[in-house]
Amino acid sequence: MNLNENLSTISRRRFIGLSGGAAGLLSSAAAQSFAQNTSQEPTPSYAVPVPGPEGQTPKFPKTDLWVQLTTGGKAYPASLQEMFLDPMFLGMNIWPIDQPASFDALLPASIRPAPAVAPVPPPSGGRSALGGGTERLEPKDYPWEPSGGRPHPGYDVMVLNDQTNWSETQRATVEKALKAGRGLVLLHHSLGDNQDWPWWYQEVTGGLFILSDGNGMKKSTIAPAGRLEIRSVGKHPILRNVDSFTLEKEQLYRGMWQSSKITPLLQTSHAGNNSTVAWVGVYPTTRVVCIQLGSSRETHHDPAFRMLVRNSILWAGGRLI
Amino acid sequence: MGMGVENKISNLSRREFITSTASGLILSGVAGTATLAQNAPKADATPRRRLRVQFSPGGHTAPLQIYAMFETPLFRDLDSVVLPHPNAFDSVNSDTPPDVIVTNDWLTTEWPQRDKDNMVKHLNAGRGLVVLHHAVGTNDAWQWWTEQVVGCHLYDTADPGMKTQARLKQFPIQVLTPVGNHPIVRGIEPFELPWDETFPNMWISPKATVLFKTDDPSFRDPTVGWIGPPLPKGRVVCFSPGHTRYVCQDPNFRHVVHNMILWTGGQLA
Repeated sequence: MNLNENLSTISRRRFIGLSGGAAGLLSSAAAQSFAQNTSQEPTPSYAVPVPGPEGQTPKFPKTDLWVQLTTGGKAYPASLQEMFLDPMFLGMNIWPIDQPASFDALLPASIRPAPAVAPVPPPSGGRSALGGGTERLEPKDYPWEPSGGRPHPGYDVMVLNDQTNWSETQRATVEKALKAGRGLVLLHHSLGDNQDWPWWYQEVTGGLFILSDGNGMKKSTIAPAGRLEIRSVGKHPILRNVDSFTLEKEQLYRGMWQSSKITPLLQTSHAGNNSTVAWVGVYPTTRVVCIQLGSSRETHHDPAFRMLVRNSILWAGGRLI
Repeated sequence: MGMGVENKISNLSRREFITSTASGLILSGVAGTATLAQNAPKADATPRRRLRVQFSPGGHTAPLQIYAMFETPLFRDLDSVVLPHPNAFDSVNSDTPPDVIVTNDWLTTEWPQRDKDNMVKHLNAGRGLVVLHHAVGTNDAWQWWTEQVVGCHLYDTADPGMKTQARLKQFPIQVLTPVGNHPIVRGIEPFELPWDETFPNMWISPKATVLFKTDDPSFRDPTVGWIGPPLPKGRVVCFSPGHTRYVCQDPNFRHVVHNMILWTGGQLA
């Protein structure tokens, strides 16, 4: 479906659910619920409410949820990034940084390494000691831009769609980030990440698309895009406004390894695919969501898929209760 | 910064709101198409195969809008995919290799040998390369690349003290003026480019063919768009803007990039 068709055929409720207005409403609702539910689960260190005057809703340290989007090693349509410009993602600051990517900005500022290129100090006016020319940087009221002279505010959630074996540096950084409570959302290709790092797929994601036989596991298979009917399982917050839906052109994954500890979110009866196509990962102290879907332009345009990704990011970032 | 979502919407100017929404994306694309229709040379009546275009970013933060550009109506005459590192150019060995590779990666020292070999193969096959913003600083240590292919260094090697400044200088606005009558610039009027990161201390090879110049007086060489030194086969074009979301969704920027893809792919004469 294209955007115009979506807008003309969906109901008003559905439209609101897909719009940025809903994002704002849900964000504030989530903030309120957050205050009521903090005793039920461990609070990620980054999401500790900032105490306000008595009677007021506690506030998050940052209004927007900051998201790092990392791809690499596998081809995909640019509709993936276009999807995040949908108004339903308002309230999220989503920044692609593709492989070879730094994961440093996922770390809390207290343990984050200094950037390789230090932010430029504010200009003192006129020509600086660095050399000729004006030194005007971004106005103070401009949104953050890379290499713009202001320190990075830090990412709350990482969304992956790469398919690579990470470097030791990347692995160490992500381990620290997970311990610090940063959320993780894996899309499609990234279920094949880190084939040689059992801790990753056994203790974090709870799933692996196996690229070759070995270690007692048999290679997973991939089938050309086909029709995939999907149904939701249970009543997880991620499934809010995500009912059963059908993707007309989606790659089929069969023979994925999946942990018995995962919490299924979406399943299919298609014989050519693993039964569970989306699940909550197994890392105990932070939020990890895995979504097998997302191979095609058609899927990226699907409103239900977009809602699924949106909810997953919000939930992984502690903004959806 | 620090505003709630609702406040953020109400405080945006109309122009900012439109450009930050999906509808704005469509409108931008339509505007770009209209500009193209006015400015592009008359189309060849012969049906042409859709160009296979590979966009290869990596190693640096980039706005969503530079990816989304390939999904706008203006670019729908192309078959585009995104393929970042590692091994981004293995695709040149496939049965359907890309006709044009658009790079926006930031691997400042140099690519791994595997990537270098594949890129040489790509250019020797007579295919196209468009080098955007971050990628003009890639492969700084690969002399053949900087002097014979892209024809630039991000900073003037004769003055290493300029290096840091060259990466970080930003200007509120600049006017780009087309130079000559090359098919890429034919029919394009001078245009303002929104806020961007610029590289005012670049060294540009004298063998390069200048396409666009900036009006910023602090540039050592005002060239911001150019064709690389002539190669036996293959076409290479570089365009140094493309850092901010504002530039990446600008219809003029997109029009220029689209023309560069068509020309390097042999479909703009």
